[in-house]
Amino acid sequence: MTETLIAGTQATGASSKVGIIDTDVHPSMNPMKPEILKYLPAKWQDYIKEAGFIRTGSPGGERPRHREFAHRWDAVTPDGREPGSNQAWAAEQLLDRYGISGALLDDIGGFSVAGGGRQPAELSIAFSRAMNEARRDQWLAADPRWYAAMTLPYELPEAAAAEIRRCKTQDSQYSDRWKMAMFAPNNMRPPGHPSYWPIYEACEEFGIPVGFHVLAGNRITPSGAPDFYFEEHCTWAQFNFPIVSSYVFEGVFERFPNLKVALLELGWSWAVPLAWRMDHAYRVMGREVPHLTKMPSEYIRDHFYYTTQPIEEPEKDQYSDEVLEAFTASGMGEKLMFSSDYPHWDFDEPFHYLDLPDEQLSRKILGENASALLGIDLIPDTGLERRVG
Amino acid sequence: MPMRKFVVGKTDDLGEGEGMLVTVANRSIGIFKVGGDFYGLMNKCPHLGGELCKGRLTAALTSDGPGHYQYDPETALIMCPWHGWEYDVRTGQSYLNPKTPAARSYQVQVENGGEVTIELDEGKVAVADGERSAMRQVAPRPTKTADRTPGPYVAETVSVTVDGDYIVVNLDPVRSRPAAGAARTEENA
Amino acid sequence: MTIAALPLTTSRQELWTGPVIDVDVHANVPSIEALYPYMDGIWVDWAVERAYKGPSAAATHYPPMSPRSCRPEWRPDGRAPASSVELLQEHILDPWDVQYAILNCYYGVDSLRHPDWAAALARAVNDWIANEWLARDPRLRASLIVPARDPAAMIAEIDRIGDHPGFVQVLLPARNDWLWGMRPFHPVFKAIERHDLVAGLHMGGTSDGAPSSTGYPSWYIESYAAEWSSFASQITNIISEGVFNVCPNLRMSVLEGGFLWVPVWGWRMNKEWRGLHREVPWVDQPPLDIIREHMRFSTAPIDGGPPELMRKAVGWLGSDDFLMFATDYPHGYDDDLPALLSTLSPNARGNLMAETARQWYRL
Repeated sequence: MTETLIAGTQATGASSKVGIIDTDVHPSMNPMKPEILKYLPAKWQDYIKEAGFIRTGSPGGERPRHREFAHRWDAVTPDGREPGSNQAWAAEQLLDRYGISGALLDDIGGFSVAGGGRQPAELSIAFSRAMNEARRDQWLAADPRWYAAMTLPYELPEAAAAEIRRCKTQDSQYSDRWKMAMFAPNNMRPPGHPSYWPIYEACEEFGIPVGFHVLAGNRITPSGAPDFYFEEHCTWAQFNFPIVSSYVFEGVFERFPNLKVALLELGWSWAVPLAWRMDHAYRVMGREVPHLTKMPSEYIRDHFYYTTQPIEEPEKDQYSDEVLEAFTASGMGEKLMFSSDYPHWDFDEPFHYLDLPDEQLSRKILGENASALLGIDLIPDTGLERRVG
Repeated sequence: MPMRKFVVGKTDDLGEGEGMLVTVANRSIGIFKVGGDFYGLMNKCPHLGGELCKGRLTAALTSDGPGHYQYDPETALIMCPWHGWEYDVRTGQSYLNPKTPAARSYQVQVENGGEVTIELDEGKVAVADGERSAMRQVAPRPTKTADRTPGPYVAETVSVTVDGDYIVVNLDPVRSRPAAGAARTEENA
Repeated sequence: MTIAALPLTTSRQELWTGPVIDVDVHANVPSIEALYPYMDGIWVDWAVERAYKGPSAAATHYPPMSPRSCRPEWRPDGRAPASSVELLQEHILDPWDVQYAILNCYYGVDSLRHPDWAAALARAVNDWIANEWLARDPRLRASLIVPARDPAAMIAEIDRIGDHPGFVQVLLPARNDWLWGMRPFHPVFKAIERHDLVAGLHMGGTSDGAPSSTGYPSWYIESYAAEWSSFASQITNIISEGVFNVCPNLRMSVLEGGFLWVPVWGWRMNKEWRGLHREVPWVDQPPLDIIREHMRFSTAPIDGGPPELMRKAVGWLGSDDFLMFATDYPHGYDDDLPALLSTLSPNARGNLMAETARQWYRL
């Protein structure tokens, strides 16, 4: 990455620090803890004790992570507990250390339980609510810099829409801290399918994006499950293709012109060639989808957001510049948002795009794009100084 | 440049295959006992800046085909707690992806016994300040460098010597430029 | 610009004067009756009793009337597209003046579950190709097809016909019940390597379950656009499972999968590998290097973009020896071959149009 600094480009009197929003942070993954279960109605707490809860494993069986929580070893809490289990420690290691204005929490551990549709429907609904209430009380209440994506029973779209409305209207103190409707790639149907549209209606109503994040998912590849965590980690990147294809060709953005979709930890460099491919397909086969009024690449450009982690590490530094250039040249410069993936092992610090030749692009990626999408203000005079090269 | 020596502990503070983190003159350094000798590494991973010495000591694992595993207990690698890059504890050399050869080497000196005690009395050697934390470690008796293709990064080694009962850190490494891609921080700016 | 159809304003010689090898042209079985001469009586009886018209997978991937399945100008009156060598000669072999073309017959045998019937159909298709295509035009070479699920039957067919001089490749569809790199398939790859054939990963196949990570797509174009998922996951698996350790001389072609996604995919694989290689210690070099060494990609579809961005993306391939020209007759694309060629060095252009394929397929 060529990180030469252009001096003297900031406005007189403004802070030179680059404000930061972290769009992907994980509280501890395992939801089967007293501090979460206590939010469930008693009958479901009893049910879980006896019948269990997560009765389906990972798709096709498990691929144990190389570390218990797929974590960075130094994120274990000072009292030796699971990374992400201690709000104050996370705030110190992440928010304080880098001067972060706001961080978006998403609950991977909740997804396959809440959304996967593998529990009694009522339990799925109750559990999503329990996770959101726990998140509110244990993180949002503790520090104003935490924001959260809602855990939702997304295979029950009407119930998911109701949970969105509950979070956004019933906790007046925290309504504005819920910033995203969260999906894992766990969908029984492609997410653009009309059966999920009640969720998008609620999202448009409150001006919040839908978010996807990596996880093993409903099914990992079109040809079944991989044997290795390494392989799984690579193949997550192909979750994007049916997700984007579905949203575009189902005409979701015709019906919901203000809807945004955020793809977290799913990469971004693939978006440019995929947009090309979809345009070519549309020119040959577009008669099949007369409900589209724009080229697929236009929908992609206007509606999808991406996060930076895991940071691209191409074979040559010059390719890093080129791929970012191709991305911005394709009109997607407003769509890339810094993420750390704290406390996972493939965590990124905010330094990577801090010193781009184009300072405005640095500011957009590190904070302004997320600020605009999520409605989170950058706290004045916080963040990181650009460094002299 | 005058040698700055710091006593960071006693030789029996560490068992074979163990390590500890010390802070010496504002620098965080991992001290490892490998094959009966002591080695030092700066606590910063050249890949993306993680605290390298908070990782695990492990041995090289290679394979000549699916289903076969060659674990070489003669090697000693520290695995970064972040992205899992592996570095030879004794030389700092990373492995995998032979893009660039190893750039630097450091010399490890063995001092004559007795001098440190005298220097301690004369105030020429400082006792290391800051926290020491023991780390969980794994490796048995490593003596070899890993028989692997070197990678593009070299972690910064620190001269560690033994004087009698004492482990001594010498902050006078051979100077050279940081490896390509080294994360920038106040420490190596 | 629909270059593969050689519009009347551009002659082949204006486009390219050097040799041409087309690594992906299709032979379409016109009807199951065309295969009856090549199968034992029991399979003819079974088809007739059931009024069985043939496996369904081909129509899943290539809906017969879709412009993607056949370019309008290649639809013959009253006959199935690409169903005879004469049609292929008229539309591709003669106007392109190819030195060689490699026939891929995707008949969708993978969607037929009966292990013996599927094996019989595969044999019949291969014999049909040998007799009615390879024997009729010396420019043709072909992939042989195999049943999809039974490694022993796959190996038997490769051993039966793999040494026929016209067969240069074994067609493996990109979707399957299992990922191709898994250990039960390693003996199949050894058989392919033993016969000095190329493993041809090609659009097609039948999954046991949804053909994606997120259920069944609604629209054909939606399914097509996302099909990188199949190719990417197969390649990742083949590398992860150490197929190229087991078969160090194995060559693989990736056909109809595109190629512009490969560098960004490879970078991610390389990055993950550096942290996670201990789980797959036989992956002893960066995955993208393995791709460069053991795989080649056809240029139909190109799926290209604006010229300057294309030039950079093609640079990321990191090799002049990566791409192989294909028309993918009779399938329809919206590709601009001259634009792709303009991003390449002269050496790379010659490689793309013929020389890489010549070396790869030992032509």
